[in-house]
Amino acid sequence: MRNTDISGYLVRVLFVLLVAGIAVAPVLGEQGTDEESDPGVAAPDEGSAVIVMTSAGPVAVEDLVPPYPPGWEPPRSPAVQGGLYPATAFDPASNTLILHEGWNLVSTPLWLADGHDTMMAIFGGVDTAAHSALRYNGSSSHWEAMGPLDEFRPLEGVWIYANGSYRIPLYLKPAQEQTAATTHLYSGWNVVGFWDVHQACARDMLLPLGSAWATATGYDAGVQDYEVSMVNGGTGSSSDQRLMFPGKAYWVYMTAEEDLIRSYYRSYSYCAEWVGDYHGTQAPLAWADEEAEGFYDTLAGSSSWTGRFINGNDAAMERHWKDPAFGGVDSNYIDNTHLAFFVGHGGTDGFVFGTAADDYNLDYDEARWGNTKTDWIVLGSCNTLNASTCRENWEDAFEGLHSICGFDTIGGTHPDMGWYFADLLMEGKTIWEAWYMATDMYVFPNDGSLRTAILAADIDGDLSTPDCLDDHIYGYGSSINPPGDPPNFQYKTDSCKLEV
Amino acid sequence: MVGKQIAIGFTLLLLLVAGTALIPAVSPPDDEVGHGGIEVLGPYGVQNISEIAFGTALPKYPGQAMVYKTVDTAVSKDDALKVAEKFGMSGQIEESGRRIKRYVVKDDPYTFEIETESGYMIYTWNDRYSGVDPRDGPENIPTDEECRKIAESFLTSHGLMPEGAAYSGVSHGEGFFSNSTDGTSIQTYKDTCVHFTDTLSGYPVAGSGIYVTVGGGGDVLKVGKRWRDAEPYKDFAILSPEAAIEELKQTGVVTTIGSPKKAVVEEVKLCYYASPPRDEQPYLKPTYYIHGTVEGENETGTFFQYVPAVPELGKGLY
Repeated sequence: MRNTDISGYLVRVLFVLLVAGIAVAPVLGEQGTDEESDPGVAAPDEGSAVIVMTSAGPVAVEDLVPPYPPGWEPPRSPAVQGGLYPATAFDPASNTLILHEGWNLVSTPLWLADGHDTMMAIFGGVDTAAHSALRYNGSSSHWEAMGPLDEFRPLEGVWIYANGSYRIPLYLKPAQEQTAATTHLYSGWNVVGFWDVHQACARDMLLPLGSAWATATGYDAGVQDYEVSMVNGGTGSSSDQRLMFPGKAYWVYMTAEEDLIRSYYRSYSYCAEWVGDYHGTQAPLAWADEEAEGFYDTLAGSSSWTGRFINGNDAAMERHWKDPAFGGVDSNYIDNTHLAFFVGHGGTDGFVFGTAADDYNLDYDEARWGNTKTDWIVLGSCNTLNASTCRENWEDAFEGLHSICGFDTIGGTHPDMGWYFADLLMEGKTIWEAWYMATDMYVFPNDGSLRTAILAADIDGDLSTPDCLDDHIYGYGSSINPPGDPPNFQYKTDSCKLEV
Repeated sequence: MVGKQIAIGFTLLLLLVAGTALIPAVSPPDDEVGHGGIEVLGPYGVQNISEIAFGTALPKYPGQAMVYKTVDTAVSKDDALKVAEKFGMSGQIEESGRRIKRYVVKDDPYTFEIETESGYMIYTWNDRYSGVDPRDGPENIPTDEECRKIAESFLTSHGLMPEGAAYSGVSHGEGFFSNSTDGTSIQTYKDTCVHFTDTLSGYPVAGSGIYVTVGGGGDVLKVGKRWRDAEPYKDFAILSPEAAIEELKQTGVVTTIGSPKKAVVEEVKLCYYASPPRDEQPYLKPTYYIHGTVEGENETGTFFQYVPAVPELGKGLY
C-alpha cells in the first residue's frame, strides 16, 4: 500500500516535470542566436507600384530616370537599354579599371595608394575629347567638374568620357592600410561607387541604407545607356538581388538622408546542426555529433569566422532551416550565418529532424536561403542532391545562396569527416574540392557506387567559367556573389573513391 | 626420494603442457582481442532486412584465410620528393597543412600533395578539376576501355603502379549546366575514373588502392592513392558465404530503399577492408562484400554490405 502511494507520487512528479519541460522547451529552443534580426528592407506588395515623391510630383519608382551628364548624347545605334550583365568595368585579377568608348560611370573599389589617388594620376592619359570629368552633388542636385588634384575616393562615382577604350591600372592601398569608407546620401538622386573588388547584390551593397533607398541604376558603357533599374524589394528584372559590379558607380534614389558606411574588415559566421537520435522514427545515425562538432570546432580556429551555434538531436529543428514565408525562423538561425552545416538523414525531398516540435522534414520547397545572409549550405545527408531531382527541387531555394554541397546517392558519416573538411577549407581548397576530398576519404563502407555532389549558382551563362563552383570560404580565396535568383546552375557529381 | 621428486616434476610438466594446449593457438594477444572495432553501422542507409533470396550461385572459398597486420605509413620529405619526381615534377617542395601536414609540389598545370601521416596522395590538373573546361565535354572522353589503357600506361610508365594493384573498374564524374528559365539542362562535363585496388592473398582490399581520372582527349586530370601497407599475421577460420548472408540479417543492408522487404543477393565476394586514414586498424580482416537488389513497398533498388568474415576477431570491420 505504501509502495503504491509512492509510485503514484512519483508518477505525478514526473508528469509535472514533463509538462513543464514541454512548456519551456520551445522557449529555450529559440535561444540559439544573439544576432540581429532580419535586416532586409521592406518589400513592396506584389503587384502594387511603389510611389516616391519627387520635385516633379509623385512617380512610380520603376519610372524614375536618373539624370544624364551634360553633353551626353543618345547612342547612334538603335536604342538598346543596358542589360542585366553590363560591360565589365573592372578586372579584379589585375586591379584594372576598364573604360569603354563614350561616357563611363566609374568608381574605385577600395582606397587607392597615396600618389595614385588623384584624377590626374588615374585619368591623366585618357583622351576625353574635351569633356570634363564630372561628379554629381546630391546636396545641391548639381553637376561639378572635377579638377586634376581631386581625390578619386571609394563610394563616389565619376562620369568620364573616353575617346577610345582604356585599361587603367589602379594601385590599391595594401590590405593593412584599407579602412572603412563613408558617404552621405541626400534625398533624391546620388551617385554611389560600388565598394569591393567582387560583385554583390544591390540588396547587400546598399544594406546599411535600409528602406531609405528606392532604386539603383547603373550605366552600361558598352551600350551607352542606363541599365534596368534595381528596386528596393523589387522582383523580376527589377529585383534588388541583381548584381552590382566593381569599378562601376550607380545612381541611387533616396527617400531620406542616410550615411552609407562600408567596412573593409568583416567577420563571417557559421553554424552546424546534427541529428543522431531519431527516437525510432529513423534509424540512429552514428557519428553525426562527432562529424558536426569536428567541423564546428575546427573552423573556430579561423580568425575570419565565428561560430554562432551548434545544435544537436532535439535542439536541431526544422524551423531553423525554414523560411519565414513558410512559418520558419531561418532568418534568425541558419540564414543569419554565412555557412551552415547539417548532418542527418535525408532524401530527395529534403532532410530530416528528430523532434516532433516541428514537422520532421525540411522540404526543399520551404527553403529560401541567402535572403538574409547564407552563402553556402553543406548537407551531410543522403540523396539530397540526387541527380535526377535536385536541380528542379532546390533551384528556388537560392535567394542569394552560392551553392549546396551534399550527396547524389547514399552518403556516410565519419567522426573525422567534419574536421577534415573544415581543415581543407582553411587550407584554401574550394568548397567543392574540400567536400569531395573529405567524402572521398571518409564515406564508408562504400562499394564505389556512392557519389557526392554540388549544386552551384551560375551567373554569366558561360559554360566555361566555374562561377560559384570555384568558391572558397571568405578569407581563404576568391568567391563570386550570385544574384538572388540565379538564371543558371551548375551541377557536379564525383564518385566517393577507392572502395571497390 | 629422487623418484618422488621426478614424479612431481613430471606431473607439473604435464599440467603445464596441458594448460598451454588449452589456450587457442590462433587468438591474438589480449590487447588485440580487445579491439572489436566498429559495428557495421554508420552509413545513412543501413536498413534491416528479413527476407533474403539468392539470385546467383554462391562462390566457394577455403575455410580459412590470412589476417594481415597493418604497417604504419609515414612519409618523409625525401619520400615525397621521390614520388613527385616520378610524376615528372621538379617544382620546389613545400610543407603545408594545419591539422593535416602535407608536402606540396606545384609544377604548372599540376599540383602534387601527399599527407605525411597517412601517405594519402593526390596529383591534380589544377584548372580542370572544377569541371568546366570545354576540353572535358562528354563528347571528348575516350571509351572506358581506352581510359583503362591510358591509366595503366600512365601508372606503369611513371613507375607508380603499386605492387599488388589490380584493375577493379571505372566510375564517372559528371557535370551539368541548367537554365532555370527554360528548364533545359545539358551535360557539360564527364571524366572517367579508373580504379586499381590493392590485393592480398588474391583478394581485393576495399579502401586501399590507386585511381587515375581521365578527362577529355585522354588527359590525366588526377591521380589519387590511398594505400594500406600490411604484412601477413595468421590464418583464421572464416565464415562460409552462406553464413555471411545469415549475418546480413543482423547487420542490415546499405540502401536508399525505405522499409525494404526482400533482398536478392547477386554477388558475394571475399575481400579485405581498409579503414580511412587515422582510424586505428591493427588488422586487415577477411570480409565478405555482398551486393544485390532490394524490394521495398513501392520501389526497388540496389544494396550492398560488408560482413566481417572472421568471427574470432569480432563483428567490427576493423
